[in-house]
Amino acid sequence: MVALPMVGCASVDGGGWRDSSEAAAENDPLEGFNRQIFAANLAIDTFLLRPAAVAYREVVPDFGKDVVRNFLNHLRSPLILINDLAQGEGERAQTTFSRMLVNTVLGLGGLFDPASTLGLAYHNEDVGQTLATYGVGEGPYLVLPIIGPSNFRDAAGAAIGWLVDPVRIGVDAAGADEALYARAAAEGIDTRYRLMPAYDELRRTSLDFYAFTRSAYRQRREREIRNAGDGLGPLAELPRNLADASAGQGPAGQLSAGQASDAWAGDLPPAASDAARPAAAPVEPEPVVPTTGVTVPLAEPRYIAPRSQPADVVGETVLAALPLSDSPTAASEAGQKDASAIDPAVTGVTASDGAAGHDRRVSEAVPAGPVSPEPKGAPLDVPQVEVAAIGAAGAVDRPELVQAGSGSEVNSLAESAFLAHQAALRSYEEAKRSAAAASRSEPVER
Amino acid sequence: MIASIGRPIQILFLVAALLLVGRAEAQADAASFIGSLAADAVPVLTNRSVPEPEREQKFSELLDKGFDMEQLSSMVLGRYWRTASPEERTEFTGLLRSYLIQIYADRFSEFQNVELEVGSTRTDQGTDFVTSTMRQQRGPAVQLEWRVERVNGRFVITDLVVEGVSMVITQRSEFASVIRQRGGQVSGLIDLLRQRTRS
Repeated sequence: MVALPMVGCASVDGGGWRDSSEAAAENDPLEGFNRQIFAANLAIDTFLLRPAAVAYREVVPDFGKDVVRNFLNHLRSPLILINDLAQGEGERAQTTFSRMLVNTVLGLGGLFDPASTLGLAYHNEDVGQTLATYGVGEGPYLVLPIIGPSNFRDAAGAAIGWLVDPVRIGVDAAGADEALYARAAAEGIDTRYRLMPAYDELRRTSLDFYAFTRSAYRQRREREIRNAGDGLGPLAELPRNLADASAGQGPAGQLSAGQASDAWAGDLPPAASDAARPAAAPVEPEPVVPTTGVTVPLAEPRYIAPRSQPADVVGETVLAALPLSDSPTAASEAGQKDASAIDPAVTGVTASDGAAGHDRRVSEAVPAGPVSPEPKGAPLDVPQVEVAAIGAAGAVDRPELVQAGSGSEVNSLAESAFLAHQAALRSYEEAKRSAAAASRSEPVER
Repeated sequence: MIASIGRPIQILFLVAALLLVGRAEAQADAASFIGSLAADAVPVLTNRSVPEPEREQKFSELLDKGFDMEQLSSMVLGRYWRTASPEERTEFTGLLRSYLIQIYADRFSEFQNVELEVGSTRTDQGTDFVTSTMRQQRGPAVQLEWRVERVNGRFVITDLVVEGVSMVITQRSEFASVIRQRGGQVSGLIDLLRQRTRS
């Protein structure tokens, strides 16, 4: 709530409006260096990562890919839990914890994701986001080798995340380093696979893919930090009332160019305003009643539907078993999320994060993403076979490949290249939240 | 007696109900605007068996119906719009149109069997924010938010936010970067767009 220090942004202020706004918008003093790394990452993508992802796509059946994704998410959950807790997100921490239990027991050690079926949707958190909630500014934009788009804060977050990740520590202690490499490789390849068409298309059609990626990363990241599904962030900086500006203007449908541009030019230092904006200005969400009839049934778990397998054995089992064992947690968890009119956690975070979150645009551009993890029924040996296949696929690459779409939209947080898929998974949760909280009104800033 | 009083009351309710309905419809306008645009365009744009020229044609219609090219041009050019000469503005607007048609006809084709569900609408200071969910047959649902304004009685889409990423902001950042690398002149961007859209 209180103005938070924007550590990383201090340097971008000052100077004339024009220069500073542009510099602030890009927040990229290391652009020359970053572009070189970016180019190298694209080359790695072209020659190693993408081919590996193509092979993965062709060789591993969809079912196997889902198992891989489920398992990778499962391995990540302890770290997510730590971050949920560190952010004081009680409800989300509960969700993560319940997911760990449910998927460990009923999801056969995390190979399946029955928890999503129960309304315990996956969400991601990482140390970079946690730092942001503590008011740490993003710092200059940074492109990391292999990993891709990041910034000083997120890079530090990735390093910390690596250090504190219970899974990594455990595996390390067991001396099974190969497992960590395999995990990293699988993470990179699976993520790249899920981004494939959109990422390739963006790269091909973009005029300046580096700039595109940079902007998208910031926008995307900001949204993740807010844990918001309202899609509002970037809109806040658009000039309002273009219509008003042109009201009383010429012929119908004619928005005078000058007018439009003035609306822009005046009101809006482009994406810049954010970086330069003083850290304060918490965003106060205002619930708004949905006005349309055609509302999406957001409250329903989206990942349930079995795609092909008719009999969802695991899912059934879970559904049958849960009320007996875990029901208080799981059910209330789901209930809370759906029911709470305004998720206090969300609101709280938005308010306090507003400051921190506001100044960064994050991103990820594309709607790319993972396939929803779905619990599937299948003979137990099938997953194992798939896993073996993946291991093989993973072996093709070195762990360094963890990357994941060096670029763009994607993301990449340093920790691994998850983002896209997380983003997608998260969209479900966000949708639920936004359904619950209705929508929030545009942050008022001026 | 009672009946004669009941009658007017019934009528009153009826009128009230109609007013409410009318009001609901008015609020849903931006959403139905988006819905009808999508219903019209999405099936064609996401059908890879439709030949490319036809998809491009469809997208061009979509631009005409849903956007105001000049306004869009000023938005994605940001501050450079002000420094551009009238000729440059005109040329840029035309090139932007060609460029968008070209790239989005392709980008859409990457999505197959997509359904766009229009969700709720939130209005803030005359701007409608229409949320929608794009569901793919395979893969995750994608959250979209359309920013719609009414300009002289006509709905105009002023931005599309995909999973938190504003297309306008991203495009503007990209264009600004190109301009900066080309001596800070809008003509530099225009040259590049000319090359890219020639094909």
